[in-house]
Amino acid sequence: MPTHTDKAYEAELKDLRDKLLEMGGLVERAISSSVRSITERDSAIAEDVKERDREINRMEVAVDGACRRILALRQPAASDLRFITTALKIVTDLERMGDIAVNVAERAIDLNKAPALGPMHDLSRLAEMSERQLGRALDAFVTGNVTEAEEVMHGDDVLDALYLKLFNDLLGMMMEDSRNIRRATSLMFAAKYLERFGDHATNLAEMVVYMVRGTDVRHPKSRETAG
Amino acid sequence: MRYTIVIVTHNMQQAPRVSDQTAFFYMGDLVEVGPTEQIFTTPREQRAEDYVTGKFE
Repeated sequence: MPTHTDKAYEAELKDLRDKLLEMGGLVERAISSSVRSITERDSAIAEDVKERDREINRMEVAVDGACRRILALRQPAASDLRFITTALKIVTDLERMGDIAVNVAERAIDLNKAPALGPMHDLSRLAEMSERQLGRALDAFVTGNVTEAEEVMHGDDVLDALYLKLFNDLLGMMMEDSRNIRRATSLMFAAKYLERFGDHATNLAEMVVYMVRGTDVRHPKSRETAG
Repeated sequence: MRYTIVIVTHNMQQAPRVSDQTAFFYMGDLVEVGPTEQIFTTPREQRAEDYVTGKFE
């Protein structure tokens, strides 16, 4: 694989890729910690997630700056241009995913003030799946693996189905006993956040397909049909 | 009367600015030709891709 003749440009692109991956790693850790603070009933972990979100926000600004600099100074073309536009898009998703982890952490702090409401295995599974979706999307981004990106896109349906099951279970608990309402609502929010986290992972995967192939696979049902 | 103007350049900023169609030649061979937007965003040939992104040894 040939590299750029301009080695400084090559280094700038690599640095941008590394920044995005580092940011992705921070987001992965944030979401798994925030759910752990619910399942292990440990609010200190949740506080830590809130604190660490600042670093994710700082990285968003750094990535944006690096992209702007490359656009202005290097006039990237072809795969480089697609990489930069992808970076600009996915950095927003990653930052938002960090915020979602904070939202889950806030629910955790609220939940941990009251006795636990039943087993949490479905919520743990939902969290594992969402986190895995992000991990695989980042992996596809690094390796340029379209097949893996497409698997992430299809994997979102499984995540949505589990969310719906959890939603109905929690609704059942609320109807059984009105004292459950507050805690079940918090858990419902947490589940919704995780489902939304998965949606952002899908966005990442779609952008990876664009970056590699140069074809936009978003919103297939919203396209105007030709002719 | 219709005109076609051919501009031969190595300047990768000038080429997309002035043209509707772009052709990439290497050592006298036509490597790839197509609409300028396509050549500069999603070229099909690896050698064209390498050239427009500045990977030219």
